[in-house]
Amino acid sequence: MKIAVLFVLLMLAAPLARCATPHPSAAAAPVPAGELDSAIETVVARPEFAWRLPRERLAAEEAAGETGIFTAFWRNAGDMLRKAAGRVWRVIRRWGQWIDDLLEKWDRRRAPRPSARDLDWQTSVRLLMFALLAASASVLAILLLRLWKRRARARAAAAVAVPATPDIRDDGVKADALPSDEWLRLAGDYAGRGDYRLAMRAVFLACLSHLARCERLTVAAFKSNREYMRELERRARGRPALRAAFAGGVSAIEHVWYGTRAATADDLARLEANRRAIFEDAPPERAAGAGTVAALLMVVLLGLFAFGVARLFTMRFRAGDVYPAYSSLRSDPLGTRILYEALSLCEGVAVERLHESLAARAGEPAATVLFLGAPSGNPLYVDRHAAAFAGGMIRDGGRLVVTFMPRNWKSGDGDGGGNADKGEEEDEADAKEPKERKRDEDRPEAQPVSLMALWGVGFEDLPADQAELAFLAPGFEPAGLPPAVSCHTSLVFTNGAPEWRTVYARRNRPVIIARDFGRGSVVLSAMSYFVSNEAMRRERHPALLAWLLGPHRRVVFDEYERGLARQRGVATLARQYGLQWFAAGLLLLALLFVWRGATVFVPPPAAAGGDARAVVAAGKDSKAGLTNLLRRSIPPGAVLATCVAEWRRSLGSLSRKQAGRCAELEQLAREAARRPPGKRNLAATYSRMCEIAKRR
Amino acid sequence: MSGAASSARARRRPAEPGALDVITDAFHLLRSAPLAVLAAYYAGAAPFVLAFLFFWSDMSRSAFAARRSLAAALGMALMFLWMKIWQAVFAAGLRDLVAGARAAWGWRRVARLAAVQTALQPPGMLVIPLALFLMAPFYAAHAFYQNVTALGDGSGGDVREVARRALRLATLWPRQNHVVIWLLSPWLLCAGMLAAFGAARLVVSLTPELHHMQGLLWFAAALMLIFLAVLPLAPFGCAVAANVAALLIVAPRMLHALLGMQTVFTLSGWHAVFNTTFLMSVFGISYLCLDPVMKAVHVLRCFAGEARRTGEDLLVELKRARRETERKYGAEA
Repeated sequence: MKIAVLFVLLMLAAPLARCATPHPSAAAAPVPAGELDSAIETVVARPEFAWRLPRERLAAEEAAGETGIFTAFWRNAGDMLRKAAGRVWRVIRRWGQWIDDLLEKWDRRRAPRPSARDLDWQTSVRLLMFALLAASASVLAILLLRLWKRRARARAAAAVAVPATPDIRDDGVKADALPSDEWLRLAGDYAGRGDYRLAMRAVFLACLSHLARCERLTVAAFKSNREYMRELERRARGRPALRAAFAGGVSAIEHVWYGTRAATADDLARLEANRRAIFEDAPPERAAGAGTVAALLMVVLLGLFAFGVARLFTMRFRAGDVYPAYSSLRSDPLGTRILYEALSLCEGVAVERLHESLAARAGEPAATVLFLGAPSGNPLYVDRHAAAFAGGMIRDGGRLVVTFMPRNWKSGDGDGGGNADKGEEEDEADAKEPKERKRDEDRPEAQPVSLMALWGVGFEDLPADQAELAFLAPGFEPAGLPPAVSCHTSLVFTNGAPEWRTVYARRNRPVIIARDFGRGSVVLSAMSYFVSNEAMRRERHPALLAWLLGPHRRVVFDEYERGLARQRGVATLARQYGLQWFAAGLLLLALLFVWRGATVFVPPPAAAGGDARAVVAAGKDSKAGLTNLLRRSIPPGAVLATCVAEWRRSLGSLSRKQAGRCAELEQLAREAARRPPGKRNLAATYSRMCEIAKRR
Repeated sequence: MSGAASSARARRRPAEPGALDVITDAFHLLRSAPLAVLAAYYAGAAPFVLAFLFFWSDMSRSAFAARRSLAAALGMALMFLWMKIWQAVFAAGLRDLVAGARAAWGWRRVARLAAVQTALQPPGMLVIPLALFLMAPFYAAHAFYQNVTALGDGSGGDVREVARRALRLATLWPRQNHVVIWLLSPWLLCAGMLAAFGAARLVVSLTPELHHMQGLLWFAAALMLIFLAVLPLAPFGCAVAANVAALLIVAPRMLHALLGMQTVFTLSGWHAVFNTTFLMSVFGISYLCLDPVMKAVHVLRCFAGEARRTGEDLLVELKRARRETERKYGAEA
């Protein structure tokens, strides 16, 4: 039900009223109209409430003689400079204030600290975000520093990696498993042994690896040579020599590798000629042109741009016209934010917005609940229980103010005036789905009841002129209310029960009515214009507003029923169940993973002799690197002894049984080491040692 | 007889390179370009787009727009020149890649580049929309200003010379040019988006029943309208813009879902999408994605077009062959 709003509002009003202990800010003293007026005046002067209206003032200034394009330009330039200086000064002052606050907080640390529960979730999320940002910045700084330091020795360090040799006979071997230089070395080995077929395959894989490195093609296991040719045609359109050389290479390898033709030294020489053509046409230096400074500049540019776009949206949406009409979040003429801000400036007035269900607010003190801009002509349907409950609640002291959206000036047509053309909606009851009606009919207690009907109030349209006024009803007691208020709506109330007092009327038809319910009261207004931001500038009635708020010093602006509800996300739930540190741990692991991938832990050799063009082995992970290191670092005769030592170290303190096994293993390792290298049979000894180690 | 004559003319006419081919080459050129070249482009274009978005937002809404419009417009003009100068630097970097030779930069060249761009580019802001409105000469006007960016890198020729070369190449291979504009031009994307937005406003104002549509339905209808209006005008640009819009819509919701950060996007629902700031932001970011490709296309077009007279492409090939020969024989020696 779209407008179960009243039920919700009354739920707010009543529990608040039930509270036995009065809220300090809920003293029953109305807000003084003079104070409210000066507060509104202060708020209206803020830049976010400066709409197009000040153009009138500009026109007046220009009419006063300050015309002239250059005069205006220099004046504006001066203004800009003055404002810029003021802004700089404000920033400096803010920093000073921040340092003061910091020092003050530092002093306060000795005092008892609030518990973690006192921090709201936004604070903790903010802290988390700051921590994340700090961690990201630190990681970025470390990576950049390492990159900078490593730059000079990168090539020498890369020469350490000894890639494992893939099985070149395997059809599934990928060309990017080795750099082209390694493939060429393999090709040389095979050619030296007279195996031209494998040598040709190694040369062809070198070509593919080289082209992949130059980004001429992407190596994939599923791609055929024909697909590589097509890809090269696309990516190297302007390189006919390159494409011809590659096509020649494909032809040569396919005859030898897939065909029955025996490979010869001539075939290898022809393929090698093609390979040279490919390497010469697409030098790798071109692809490796990215500079660190340029990358850094790009990151900075993108970051600043993203920040700028976010700032733009923040500035743009500060006006609030993305919210529904008469929302207290809107600062354009259609909103009611000026009233909200002005009330928050008034001394002793507590103002809040509702973005969530009020069910959790039971027990709070009595308040004035404002539902501004209710759908016009809506009979406020609630179910019977809710209606009964609502009546009781208001009697306990709450005050409910409902203002309805303006209707069209001329009933029936769509031509609204002022802000009357916004937000017009159909009756809630009419908009109900048939299924929902049927369901409600089955449960009598759930059948909707119109509060307006219950209270004996109805609506009708009384066509009005744009400048038509509503006049204060004669004999209405509170003094100081304005005698006339602009209507800006065609809506009037009808069939008023005698309990309802007419406050304002247009052509003798009530437009603002009020009624007491026990200790509480309800005010219904067919007009909404007088609470809008536009009215605060053009036609302000502080006395009427102060009367509208009633005796309470706690004012609640309902936003929940307009759809402006705060929804709980995964993060809220995670925090509720205390999972934020788990998430932080995951993030830390992710950062460590990135760090591991980005950092070479093996120290570079002292001298960077040899081939300066050696490259890091592509496609090799850290495990392969470790295997290679072990192969290089541990002599074959000491492998078993090393295994036993590592196993023993992993056990920590040994039981008697384990000590016996250890001695047995060491004996085996020593025996194996004593044998000549060709007769050691390390694998069999290792298997035997495994059996001993697993024995129970 | 006339049929035979036309076929003879067709035989004499040199084959026009395909638009998709040149776009593919442009993509590859961008991919193989050093990051510094791309950084030069974004050093100019990103500040301009950001400044334009702020300018748009301020001038369309602020009460003080009239007061500061002069200074703001002056700032925008300077930002425009800043962008055009950096775009010319970017185009020069791409041309160096194509030509295989790096022209040296000096203060005199920079001054000449700035002078050429300052003299020739500003009228484009008026001429191109006007040409787009008139439709017929749009391709030539668009190509002329792109050519000025590609040719006016200060390496040779004064303002008049650059204008003459740009004008001559603007009418080169019109079919290819039309297809390139259709696929890549941010102007058509902008026109399509504005048309869609305007049509949506018109439809809504003409049919009050649409006021009662719910948010998601609104979104679906608007999306359909935008696609219908924009897709035929700029298919590739439409895909880019759809991606950008999806990013802008989804990112705040992801932040809310994963980190619990409440922003105006999550609070105001679909209202945050249906406004001109969002529309212009999507267009601005799409422009930053599309325009480098357009510039690369025109660098290639200018290179190929001038090479038909100067034989520069052959010279480049010869230079490359000479270099390779020297390398080969030098290595053997």
